Amino acid sequence: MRTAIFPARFDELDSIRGFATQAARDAGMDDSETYAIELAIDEACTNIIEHAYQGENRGDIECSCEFDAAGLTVVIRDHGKPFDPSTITTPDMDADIDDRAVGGLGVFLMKKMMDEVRFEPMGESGNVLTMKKRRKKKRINSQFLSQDTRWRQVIQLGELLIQKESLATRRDLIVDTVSHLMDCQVDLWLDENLFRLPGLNQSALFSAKPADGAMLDAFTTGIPFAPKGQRASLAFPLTNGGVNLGVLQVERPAKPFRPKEIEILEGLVGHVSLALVAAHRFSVEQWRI
Amino acid sequence: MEITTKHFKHCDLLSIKGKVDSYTAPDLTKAIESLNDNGVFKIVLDLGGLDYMSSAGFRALLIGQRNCKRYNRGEIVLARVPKKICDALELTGFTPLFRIFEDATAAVGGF
Repeated sequence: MRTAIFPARFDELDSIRGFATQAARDAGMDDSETYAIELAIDEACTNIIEHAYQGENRGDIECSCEFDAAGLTVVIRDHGKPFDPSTITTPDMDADIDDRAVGGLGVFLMKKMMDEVRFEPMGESGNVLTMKKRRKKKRINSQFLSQDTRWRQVIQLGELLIQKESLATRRDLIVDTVSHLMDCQVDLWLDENLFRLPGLNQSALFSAKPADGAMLDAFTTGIPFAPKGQRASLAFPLTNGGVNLGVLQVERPAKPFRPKEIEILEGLVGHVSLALVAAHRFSVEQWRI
Repeated sequence: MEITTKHFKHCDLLSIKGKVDSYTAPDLTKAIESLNDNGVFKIVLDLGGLDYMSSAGFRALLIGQRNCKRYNRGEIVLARVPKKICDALELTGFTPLFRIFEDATAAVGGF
């Protein structure tokens, strides 16, 4: 998650949009999604200056952006007058030019541009606005993601994993993130015995052993399965402190993995292993309490 | 935002570059008003160089169009509207209020 605080002034809108644009690009959003986010945030901040603060230079606007496999979430906070969204009426789009209202367009555009818009008046302490933009269903072509962006997503994956409460949600997050990051098929197998909480009757998520030969090989040897000259299907063991935790397999027959991508995948399994162990320790502590 | 004005026999051409938001929209309103003050009500807005426009810009267009069309003395037409800005104008029901041309010369010739 990244956060920035801006003075509530119209000449700051350009910087606020810049902040949002960067977050949208890092989240892998395309041009039209990025523009939508830019517009929604601009309209939100304009409303804050005009209505919550009722003028410029009366406070700050705090803007936070966070993305995951599902999309981008933007949270905007102010400390101005409580804003009641029910007082905003949808402008009449068919009215004659002379009857056309000049206000009310901002909220309308925000709702059109984003998938979810939620206002929470917090009384004396201001307002919290949460907006979500879901990633389009289409696979994002990973060649457009820069190396830098991929590394940032790897690090973020580690952080997000620790926040997930169950092994199933952790597994889904890893699979979703890797398939998005590399535009490939992903298979994950974890040694569930290591992650089981004592006494809880959980149904099994994984088979006793990896079914796939390459995965089994990587898991038992602890060495990545990547035969010479074959870079379309790779299996990486997940290890931590000499213990083999599981194995991650990636497949992309149409476009074999480049050395730079393999480097990222190696870094990724390291992060994931560490995060899985940390998340499990945290779950165990919680279970004890 | 940057605005340049060019005078033609039957209309004036305002070329707008950069970004129009709540900070810069008042300058767009002023530019249109200063033409109106000089008796010019037939205006082509060339938006080809525009990177961004928020609803503050749409409002400036609406107010400008109202003044220009009053007493049938003229109108604002738009030229070279970038796709993403055109989509937002469409969404907010602004496109029926303006004639839109694909190029500025045709728009100028239209008066």
